[in-house]
Amino acid sequence: MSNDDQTNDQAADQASDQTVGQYADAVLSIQDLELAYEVRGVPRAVLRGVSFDVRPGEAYGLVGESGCGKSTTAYAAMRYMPDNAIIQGGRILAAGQDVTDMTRAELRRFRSHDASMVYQDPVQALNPALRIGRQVAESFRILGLDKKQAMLRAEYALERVKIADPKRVMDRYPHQLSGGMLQRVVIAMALAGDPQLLVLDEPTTGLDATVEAEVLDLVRDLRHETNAAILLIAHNLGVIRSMCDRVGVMYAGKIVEQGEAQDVFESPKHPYTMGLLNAIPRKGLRKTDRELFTIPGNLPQIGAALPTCVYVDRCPLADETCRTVTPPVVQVDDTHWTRCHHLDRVESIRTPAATTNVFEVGTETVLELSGVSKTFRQRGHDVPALVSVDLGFAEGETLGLVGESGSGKSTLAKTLLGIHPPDEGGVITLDGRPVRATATERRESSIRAMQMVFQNPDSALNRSWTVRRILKRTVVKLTGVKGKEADRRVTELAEAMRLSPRHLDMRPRQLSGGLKQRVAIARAFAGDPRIVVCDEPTSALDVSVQAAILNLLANLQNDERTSYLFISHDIGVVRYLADRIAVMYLGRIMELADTDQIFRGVHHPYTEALLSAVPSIDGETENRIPLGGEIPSPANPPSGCVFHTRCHRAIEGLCEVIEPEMIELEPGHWSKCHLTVEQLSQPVEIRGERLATLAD
Amino acid sequence: MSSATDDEAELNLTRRATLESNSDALQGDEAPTLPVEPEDKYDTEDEAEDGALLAAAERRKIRAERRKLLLTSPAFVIGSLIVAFWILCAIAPGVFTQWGPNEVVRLADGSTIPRTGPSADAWFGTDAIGNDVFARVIYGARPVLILAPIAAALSVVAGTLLGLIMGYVRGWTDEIMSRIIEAFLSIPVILLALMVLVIFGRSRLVIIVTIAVLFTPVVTRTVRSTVMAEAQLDYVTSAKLRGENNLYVMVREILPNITSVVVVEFTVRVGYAIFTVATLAFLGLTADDATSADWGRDVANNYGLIQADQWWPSVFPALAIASLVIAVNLIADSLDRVSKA
Repeated sequence: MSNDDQTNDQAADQASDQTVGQYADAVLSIQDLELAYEVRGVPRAVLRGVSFDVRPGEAYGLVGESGCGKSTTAYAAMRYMPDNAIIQGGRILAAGQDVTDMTRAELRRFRSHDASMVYQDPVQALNPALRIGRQVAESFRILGLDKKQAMLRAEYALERVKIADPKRVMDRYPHQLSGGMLQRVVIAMALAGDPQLLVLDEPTTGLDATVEAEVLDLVRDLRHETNAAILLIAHNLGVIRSMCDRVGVMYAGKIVEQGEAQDVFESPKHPYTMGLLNAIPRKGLRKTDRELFTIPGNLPQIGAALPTCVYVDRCPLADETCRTVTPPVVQVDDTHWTRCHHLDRVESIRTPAATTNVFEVGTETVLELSGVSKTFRQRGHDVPALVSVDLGFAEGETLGLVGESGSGKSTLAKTLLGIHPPDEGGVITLDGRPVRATATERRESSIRAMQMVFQNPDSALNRSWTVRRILKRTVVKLTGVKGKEADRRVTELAEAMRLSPRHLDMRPRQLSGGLKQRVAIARAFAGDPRIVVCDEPTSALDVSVQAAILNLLANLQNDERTSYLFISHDIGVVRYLADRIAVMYLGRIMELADTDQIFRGVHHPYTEALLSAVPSIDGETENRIPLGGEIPSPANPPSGCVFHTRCHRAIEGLCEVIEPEMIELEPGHWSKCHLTVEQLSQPVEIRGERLATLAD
Repeated sequence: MSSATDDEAELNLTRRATLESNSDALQGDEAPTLPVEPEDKYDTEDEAEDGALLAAAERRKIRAERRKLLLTSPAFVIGSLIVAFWILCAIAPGVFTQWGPNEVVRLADGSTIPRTGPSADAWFGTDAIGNDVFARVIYGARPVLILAPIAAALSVVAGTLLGLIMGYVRGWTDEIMSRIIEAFLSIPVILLALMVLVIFGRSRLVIIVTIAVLFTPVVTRTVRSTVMAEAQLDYVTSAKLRGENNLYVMVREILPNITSVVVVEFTVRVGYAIFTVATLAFLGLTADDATSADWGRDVANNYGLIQADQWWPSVFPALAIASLVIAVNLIADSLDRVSKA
């Protein structure tokens, strides 16, 4: 393509952009923003003409895979940019000012009065050495208040973000507060100057679903109260769906589709949006229904030359037109537009065909835990992390394990694998025979029978080893074969994981996240395991990569009849893969049932609250049951039923006195609760507004 | 420079490969069939014909980049040049000076010029006997450059071993050894060295071993903390889950990942060892006979003359010590920075 053509295309592009989505009252208006990072003297394009408006009182969401430019856009709106960032074109208008050519003083005023940002990790956003009160007051001092006034305003600000006892919170240091509480504090600080624009960059990503729901509720309330314009960045499509009026779908530094949240999520008009949405297990999809949709290929590198459609290399609809003509902005309706030549055919890529996998679950129990407890000793105190757990795994079965962080999920996995030994008295049996407490004492056959896929493949793979060495060593160690035979097995494994032979000679850092996780899975499967523990295996991955990994795990299970212990905080993923689900709280299993039973009918009050906290990508608004307070310390668990302190159905005089037994609500459905099926099916009355309280 | 052409060749290789993969994609599927079958698609991540070659090229590129980073760092270049100069002096001092270390400088007319300041005849002046200070400085590089690196290497080997064990095995082994190390670190280095050298005599071997033993605790502590962080990573858990023993995990799994720390630690220790060797020499504790050239001892022998305005016989060897220590530290700093980049 000649230079002239390209500039013509760009001109056409810009002309069409300007007609789209311009609002006279916009608080934030990003217009044709082109931004590049200079790497070794060469500017590499990151944003390729981004335009959107956010109006007062509106929440606008940006979605897309990591590396697509969401955060760069958000930071650019505040003009937080690294030194090597160059704005090559376009304008950023915020609160009526051009952010790109402010002086230092103007910028300071802009950030203190007109716009604020809330970051992903509140721990890093706060100074660990200063008390909360002083830090919040600082936001008011900048506005010109004196010390006393600022402290008073700080107290009020914390009240505003629904913190129950602001005075006590102000006296604490950041490390003494939970993540959810800290994020409230950061939001309180962001709101100090009554900003017209609030930028939230993955504000709930590090939080548990239950806490996430509370923080999102808070943001929703504040938005109506302040009428601020909100720009929300989140990789979790459910969060975007439940929070935003309009969304922009970003890909390779360009917004490829924009519209009202409902339109974009229910009838996407760009192949990328369609791909993202279909990659997520939604609407109760199960592994027995069909495979998940995956997007082939990778996001283009920053700075890659993308002369026409940015998505052309990965698009199933791409044809000659897409490779030669830049797709114009096509208006679907007043608010909804897309950049695609073939929007009428987007519907046709909806779903992969039904799966041929049968997922036979055997009747024999492969692995059984009975009365397994684990107590850690911390600073002279006994901390029970696992309390008398009974669990069994059938051949080819996936047991999903859910619960808030600190509920003992990982401890259960590690105890089972023999990474740390259980307390005296607990028995773990493999094929009916008890196994030793720690992996190092276990016989070879038990070691190869139980393997693990870790959450973070960067940590799980030795970075100085090649993939071949990682796999070969595991094969040799677990199966005892050597030399040529081992090499053959490595090649087979790689093939089964859909790794190409060239990946074998690479080191982990040369591979993408998805490929690394495949290597980790290959390693877990090297010795034909009976049971594989998957600890959040996809939580570090983008949804399209997650889909491929989940498909791989499902297919491997179907072929090898391996059992999985699948730990995840993503209820949709667990629902997709698991045959049964166990819900944990404070080291105890509170409920254990078939996946279908968990998602319909009655369940344990904790499960009820947990499920209601998940932001739905399908837009159904369930009545959310707030979990009061924070998860109690396992060192000092509540009396009676450990959940009674946060339970919305607790019966006074009973639940705090007597710990309930595990009872069978219906065949195969166990629950640790005093309430009967009838009582549990009564609709629950939520009393008043819940405030965030301190843990102690 | 050869490295520049190397880089170019690699760049071309990468470029060719990406071009090929692009053209593959273009020719690949003329008419997309709907719905797509994901299972045939999802692992085609940047597939290229000469894949293995590409992997190797990429790895070479990373290495080349590191090399480039080092070679373009002024600190590293200056440090290396200075160290290289002193190493040459230690190997072939005769190349740099016409006088021996114990040779009295004689002018053309046969006269000697003791206690004379820097001049064209003796660049660094002459000492009380009439020896050339410049020649003594050049010859003085040898004892330091023999003792210091060997001592540092020994301490790093021992420290890495102990650090690996303490950081990985933890428990009471770590507790006991930590206490011993703390006790060791509380003794003044020079005092202990003095005592040991007086007791065991002043051979090269004793000096090397003494310095190595004194430095080992510090190295151990650094390595221990690195190993502790490394042992938290899941690949270590994974190795245990396939039944590897502790020795294997420490040496084969963890050690390759801490080499950059070990290399930097070695360089830093060389700097300190030079300092210690010179200090001991200043105190008269050298392995060589009393007239041989030695920076530390030359300073000790001549510093009294500063009051008589004869600064050159002591200041020049002192500067030599300083230049070598600084140069080694410059190298250590840039290695550290590159390993963290």
